[in-house]
Amino acid sequence: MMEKKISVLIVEDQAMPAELFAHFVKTSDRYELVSCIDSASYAEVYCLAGKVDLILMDVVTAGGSNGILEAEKIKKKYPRIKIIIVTSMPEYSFLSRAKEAGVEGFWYKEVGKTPILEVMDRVSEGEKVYPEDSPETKIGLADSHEFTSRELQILREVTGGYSNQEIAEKMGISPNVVRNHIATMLEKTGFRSRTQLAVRARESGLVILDRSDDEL
Amino acid sequence: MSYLDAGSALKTLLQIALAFSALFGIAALFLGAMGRVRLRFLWLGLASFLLPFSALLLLHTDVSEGEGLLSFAAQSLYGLPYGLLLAFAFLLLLLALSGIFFCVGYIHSHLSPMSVKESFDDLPSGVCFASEDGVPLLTNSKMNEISLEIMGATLRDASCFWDELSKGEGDGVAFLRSGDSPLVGLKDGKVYSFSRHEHRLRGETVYEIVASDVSEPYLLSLDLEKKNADLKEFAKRLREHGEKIDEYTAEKETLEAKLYIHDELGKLLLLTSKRLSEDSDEEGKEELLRIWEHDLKAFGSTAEGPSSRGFEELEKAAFSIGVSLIYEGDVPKSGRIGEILSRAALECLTNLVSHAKGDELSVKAEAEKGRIRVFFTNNGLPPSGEIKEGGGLSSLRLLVERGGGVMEIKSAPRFCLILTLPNGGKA
Repeated sequence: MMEKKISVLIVEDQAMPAELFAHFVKTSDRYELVSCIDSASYAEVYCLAGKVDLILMDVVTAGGSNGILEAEKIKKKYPRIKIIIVTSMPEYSFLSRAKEAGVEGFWYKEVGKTPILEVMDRVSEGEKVYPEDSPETKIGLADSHEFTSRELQILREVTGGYSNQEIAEKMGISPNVVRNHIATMLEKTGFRSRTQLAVRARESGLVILDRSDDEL
Repeated sequence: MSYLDAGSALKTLLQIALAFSALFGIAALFLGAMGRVRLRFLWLGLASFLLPFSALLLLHTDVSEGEGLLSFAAQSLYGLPYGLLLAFAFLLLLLALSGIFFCVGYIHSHLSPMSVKESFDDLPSGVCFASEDGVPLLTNSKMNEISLEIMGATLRDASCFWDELSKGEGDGVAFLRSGDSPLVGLKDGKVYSFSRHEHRLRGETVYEIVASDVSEPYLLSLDLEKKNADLKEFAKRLREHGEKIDEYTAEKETLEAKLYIHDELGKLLLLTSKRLSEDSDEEGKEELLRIWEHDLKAFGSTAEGPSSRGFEELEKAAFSIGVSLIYEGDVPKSGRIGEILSRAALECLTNLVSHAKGDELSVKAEAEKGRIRVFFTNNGLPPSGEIKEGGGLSSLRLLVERGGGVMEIKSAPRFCLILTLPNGGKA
């Protein structure tokens, strides 16, 4: 009796990687493609009919939907569905948030040392597959790993255009602490202003402000 | 030797000493009165004048005539030893001189009402003390200057002055703030902040009005306001940049893909031209055909991508799980309204399959003047009770309200979600 193929849903808003994933799935004996969609907000609908076994979920998807938040919802309602987060953004918190959401795998598109099919195979067999760390990226004179987690939290808020006072209130710390962390980051990167720092950090994908969190 | 027995030169000396001590005594008295020294010192001053003066008077009294009190006192004085009288005269002189020095020292070390008024007038702030009914008790020059500019006259009625300031009434000046702490800009560019305080003095109420020059802090605050406004605008642009960066990245990738296609097509055309001009064999032509098929397929996949958002994606998802979407009326599917409606339809679709176990979702739009009403219903089981808004419906409500719309949920007799949204004046 032929082993039932694992049904895969691809959630990816960029054409090239989506096509690549779809190609891998279609040419594999083990997997079959349910659908390829560009917004994480529709992922749950496909899960309703019980036809999905594995989801390759991008983080930043069309319409501003956050793949990790949707993955968390799906894991709560459909715990048997396995999810692999795929992203090209080195945003440092994605890895920890994905683990907290309970997803089974995490894969960096451009620098993943393990091929995606291998990750899918291992996850399908019940393993949890995570990289050791997020990819290193250069921000000015500094490497992304030179920033502390607190600095990165503050840097994310700076990219949202928030003032020191607003950041301090959001994070429950003093504005002076915020100011000092920003000064330290400017020193590390060699940038002249927080604007330069914010623009470069956002462009590199090192920090991404969660819009759903922000709007609410 | 008594005074009578003394020679004329000695008598003259005594009289001069007494005259000088009387003179200095009067000077000490005058200085004491001017400096407002304590009363007991004034008495001493008076004594240091009266005693020598009286003695001089007695020494010039003719004792040979009359037997009155004056004559008797003069006789007694004449009978006193000369040395004693001289010592007494010099003592009085010393007393008077001490009095003068004391009064001068006192005046220099104590404030007089004049010095208080002088320093009061020198204050950079305007100050006025007034009684409860507005009568000014003490006003400095600065306050009078300010009153002249605001009221057209020096301060005559403090209550009226304060009322006008509080209400922001008056011509020729800029009332920047009225109320309990009025702020006024004068013609010379200076800005004054006014305050009023109540004091109790000897059982009566006294009001103190103070006008403080806050020109520099005011200008700084204006500058700060402008900088804050600029910062807010900049922060907004930074936020928009962050939101759009994904779009920019996608556009960049699409452009790169287009450039790639352009280059590859160019190479392919060159190869084709070469092969055709070489008149290659069948095998060569088949190979060329395969290359064209392969590359066009690859370009096709580059050009296509996952399906677009909104209703297209929704319909695809609904189809995959066996649910039909039925539209009635002109349902907007694009723009901001389209986004909101597709989110609402997604929410209804999820709830339809999870709870209502239906397979048809109806979306009906009714256009009214300036707004559109959209009704979402289904063919599933009716709700067992009142629907409680969970995370999905709450987020939807927030989205609808941000878009200027209203969301209603009906649980009976069947489920119905109604969205009323502004449609930009269209009917």
